[in-house]
Amino acid sequence: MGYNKAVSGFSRAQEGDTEKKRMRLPEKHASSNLKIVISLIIIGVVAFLSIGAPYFASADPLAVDLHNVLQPPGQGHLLGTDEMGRDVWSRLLHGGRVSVLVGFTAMLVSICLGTVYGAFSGYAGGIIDRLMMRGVDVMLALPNLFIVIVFMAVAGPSLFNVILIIGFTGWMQTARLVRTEVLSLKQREFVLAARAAGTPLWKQIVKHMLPHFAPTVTVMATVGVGHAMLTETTASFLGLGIPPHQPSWGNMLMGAQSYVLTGAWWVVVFPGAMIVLTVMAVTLLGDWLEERYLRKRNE
Amino acid sequence: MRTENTGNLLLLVDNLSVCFSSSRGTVQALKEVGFSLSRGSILALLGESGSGKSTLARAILGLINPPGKICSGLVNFEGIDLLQLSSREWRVLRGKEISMVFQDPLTSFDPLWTIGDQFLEFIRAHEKIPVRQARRVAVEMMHRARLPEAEKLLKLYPFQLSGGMRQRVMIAMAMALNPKLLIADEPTTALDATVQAEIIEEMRVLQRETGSSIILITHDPGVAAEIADTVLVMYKGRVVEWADVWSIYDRPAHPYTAFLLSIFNDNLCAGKKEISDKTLLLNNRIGTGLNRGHNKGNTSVNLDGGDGCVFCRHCDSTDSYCLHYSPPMIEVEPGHQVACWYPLTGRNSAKPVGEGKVSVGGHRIT
Repeated sequence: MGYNKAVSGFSRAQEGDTEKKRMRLPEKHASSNLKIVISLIIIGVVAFLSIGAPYFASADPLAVDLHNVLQPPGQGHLLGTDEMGRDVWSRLLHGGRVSVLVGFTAMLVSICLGTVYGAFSGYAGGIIDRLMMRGVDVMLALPNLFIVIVFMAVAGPSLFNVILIIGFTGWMQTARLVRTEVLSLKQREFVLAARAAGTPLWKQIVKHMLPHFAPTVTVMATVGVGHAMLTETTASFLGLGIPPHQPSWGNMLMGAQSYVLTGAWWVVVFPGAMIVLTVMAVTLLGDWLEERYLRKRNE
Repeated sequence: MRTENTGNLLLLVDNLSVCFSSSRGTVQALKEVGFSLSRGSILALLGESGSGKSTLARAILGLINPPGKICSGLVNFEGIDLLQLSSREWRVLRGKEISMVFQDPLTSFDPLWTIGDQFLEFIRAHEKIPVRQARRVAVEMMHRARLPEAEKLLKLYPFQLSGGMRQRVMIAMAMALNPKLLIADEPTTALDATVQAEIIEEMRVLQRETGSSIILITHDPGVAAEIADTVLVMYKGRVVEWADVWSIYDRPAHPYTAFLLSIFNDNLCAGKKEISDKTLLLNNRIGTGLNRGHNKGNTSVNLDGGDGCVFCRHCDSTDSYCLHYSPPMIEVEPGHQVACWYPLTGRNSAKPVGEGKVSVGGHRIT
């Protein structure tokens, strides 16, 4: 997945990888611009529809109408109704809200956590650094989804819990990345000069290190949004994410799975397409940022 | 913290050793370094690359990063034992009492912030004064360092200034809070010769005005001669000679010092053609002999430490004694100390420094 690719490309700890990555940087061509335009349009549309969901929705996304279950698109329901007669279009919009919200906030949680953890580990150095990094290894060794499932089963499905657990399982890559950046920045002369000038520790990190690794973290964050959305979808699909009555794209798919074979394609295709398109757009954006950043760095 | 009234003595370094541990063994970057510095005087640390000059400076400022550490010794600044300071106490001391100028003024400014940002940050880290007042201090200091249009310069980013200007800003910054001690780590190495002379002059003027002491690290005997009161010659992490500037240039007692000065003099005196020949020759000699060391690999610091004089493998008067016993500091004339068994000035009048304390390998020095 793009998430892991971005990490191996950036991590300076893996020198060889970086070298290889530099070697096979694609030439700049027009299609990369087209790619980014398309992904920005998709992201823009999704964001616009999600924010304005109450205005665009034609019906209450929670309103059950058992007289009109599994209605095909058209006839008063733009995208048809689901197995409980709820309006798919409205649910899609409100579900987008949830997915985007989870994507962004979970990403913020994991980026903040990873940055603080990594910066501390890298700055402390020595035995503390080694212990903290083994902690990261342990976290990475545990399958993410497994932790999510166990936590959600114990804590119960809710929006807050989903954000929390996705945030707390996605920070390790950022921590590794920030740590390597801090390790190298620590040796830079201007940081040493700041230290020699009696600059407080937090200021050394926030003022003289953070701005230098911010581009890397931005790329991580972008790719992280897609990752968080996918995890939310997976958890919801398994019935362990967003509570079933609340719309989310993963939830909609879960409800729809039994009806695909009866010919009710609309309950599956629309949320499925939204997930694929949005995650793809975000990942493309992340890739593009990464490529740009690497190119700039190599110059 | 202050234990005693130290009078005119500002800094006392005694028996200071710094070790770097690696999986292949421990390197001693500094070995039993000792010297003192009185108020208002300028000390030059003279030595080639890898002789431990910068390590010494960093050790004084408590900036040795792991895996390096100070393994023994004493650094006493105005009666304060610097090696015992907490990081909070260090933060107050650094920049205000002891400040430092680094070799390359481009890399020692953060490229993402303007000169003014960093100057004001520096001042305000130590003085709780409003921005406006801090800016006034900065501008005044920059004027004193002969930087024109200081207000305008404060708005620029480091890369927009020339090397000489950057170094002036650096020095202005370091002197802004009237530090008692300024450590300048090769402040002129990254600059060309004319600017170099100006910067040295600037430092001397500011030093006279503020009464600070300066430790100037350099590999250029010319720079040292120009500015220093006393000179400390280092080789492979050891102090080999310590004397006032006149005696050391007039009567170098250590063979290494003599060698260093001969290179310098040859370069000054010889004609162009001769210079190139001679430099080549000397470079060869330095390259194969002095700088690399014959014995182990090509590190200029012995990995195993080893006994004997650090210079014994390149010295003309080496005998088996030199190979096995490290020479202690002896005083060949008042205020002129050298670590050599056979000082060039003769050792008739020589007596060990710190009488009775020094004994090597069971042999009492007589």
